[in-house]
Amino acid sequence: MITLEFFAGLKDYFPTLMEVREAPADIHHLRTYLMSEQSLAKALLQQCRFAVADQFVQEDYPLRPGDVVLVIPPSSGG
Amino acid sequence: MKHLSTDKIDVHALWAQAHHPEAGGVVLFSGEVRNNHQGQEVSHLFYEAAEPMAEKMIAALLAEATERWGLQVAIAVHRLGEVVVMDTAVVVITAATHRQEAYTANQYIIDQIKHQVPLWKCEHFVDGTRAWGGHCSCQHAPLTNKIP
Repeated sequence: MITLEFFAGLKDYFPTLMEVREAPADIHHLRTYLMSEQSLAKALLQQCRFAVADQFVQEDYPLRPGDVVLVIPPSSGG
Repeated sequence: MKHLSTDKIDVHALWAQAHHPEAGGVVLFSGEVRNNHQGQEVSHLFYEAAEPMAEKMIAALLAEATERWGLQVAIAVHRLGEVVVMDTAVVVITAATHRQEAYTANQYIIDQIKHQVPLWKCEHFVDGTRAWGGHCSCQHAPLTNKIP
């Protein structure tokens, strides 16, 4: 199982925290899974970055049970 | 120093910390909430962050800029929560031997905060609608994500 944390506009489509029992193999598969879960959020999910342990990770990052994954929409601070 | 704050930013108190005997140029940027965006009246902004990650990234960014431009002082504080029109949402202060380094480093830091650090604004409009993102001169995309 992995835990996902959503922010900003993604919280209009997902809860702040979401557990995924069967962890996708990597970030690429996680993104695909999320787009299938919420097709209305597809465009936003395509722009998102992902982070594990407060570090951005790439599409091929292998997910492991217990990972907490931050799903990060495009930044808009300032 | 914490780089994220739910309290109003005391710009004058930060300015008081920004002086250094070796610094001949001190630049302060205050990002403030304006009352309009693409012709619509803004009532206030709401900011949120992936807080531990954003804190670490801003600290690393200041360290990087300090090293790269030889800064004597590098300060950045960003508001979280509701911020009203004319209030400061973010402050960046840089002090360097000469003004060029202070200006360049300051712009680099605010650009990175806006586009790389996991921080988000939600614009709340006077008509009761809201929209995440935007409000940046770097992004001219029309508002397409307004939510009643």
